Amino acid sequence: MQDALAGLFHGGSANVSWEEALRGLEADLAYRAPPGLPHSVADLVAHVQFWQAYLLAVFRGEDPAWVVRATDSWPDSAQADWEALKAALFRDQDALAAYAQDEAFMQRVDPGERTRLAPLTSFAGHGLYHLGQVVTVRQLLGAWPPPGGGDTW
Amino acid sequence: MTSSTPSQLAFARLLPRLYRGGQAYVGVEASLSDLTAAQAEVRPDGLPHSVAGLLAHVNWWLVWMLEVIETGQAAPYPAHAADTWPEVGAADWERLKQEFYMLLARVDTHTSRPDLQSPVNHDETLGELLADFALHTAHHFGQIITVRQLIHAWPPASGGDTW
Repeated sequence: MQDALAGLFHGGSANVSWEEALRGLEADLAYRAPPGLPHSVADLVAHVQFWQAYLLAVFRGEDPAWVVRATDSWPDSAQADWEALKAALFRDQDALAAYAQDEAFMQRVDPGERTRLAPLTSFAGHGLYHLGQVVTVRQLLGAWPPPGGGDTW
Repeated sequence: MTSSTPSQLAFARLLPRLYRGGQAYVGVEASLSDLTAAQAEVRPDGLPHSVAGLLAHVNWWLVWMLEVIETGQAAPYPAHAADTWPEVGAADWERLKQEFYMLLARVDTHTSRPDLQSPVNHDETLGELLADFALHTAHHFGQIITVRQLIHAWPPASGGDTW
């Protein structure tokens, strides 16, 4: 179970992986929101990364402030370097996957008797939800499938 | 993981919520509400699927998963990805929604089973299979919102997932 949970941060077995979904997408397209849609791929990645970093801060005991408005969890991706943004996304996915595979960490319960399983699975789900949108945005930009294929057979 | 651990109990409580959204992402009922059959069959330029097409695909895999679980037999994967994308149109919309909610009710009968750790499909356990398809569902519901934004059918009257 913990291996499967860890795998969900990278895409899970039922979806295209994050790495594949971002492969071959250059910065000029990554920052482009298709007409009619509010977000670019870079926006979606920055948003997912915002919540990954939030969860990691919670796990480190840093008590990060909850966002007041939904828009606060959508960083201005234009201010971020595309390669750095992807690197941060993958780095924190690896960190969350490592927590999921840490037996002692997963057995720990907080004062409310809650385990780490629920937030980890819920945040992995949040990432995969937006991963679906990354695919859609790339399709609209004429930048799908990625080199190597996408999730079709 | 055994039936007595906090993790097992938490996971059993979590699974129905993962299928329905409503916390980390927009709930499935809001995602499908206030959309006419005519809107549901619209495929935006540049995209391969309408909302109805996406829901038909989600349903296809939920049926596949439930057959694996309920027969206890590992099932072969379909020969082609296209086999999992049924051709649907406006006339199918109400049926597709009803089918989806009926499938969720069938999923619910399995999420609280005490044997989530039992092997069920190839190298997966029952719990892993249920979680994988909860997130497959979420993946495509994220796309349903995108398609609805493109056809100017979002948010529904109940509001989207913003605050």
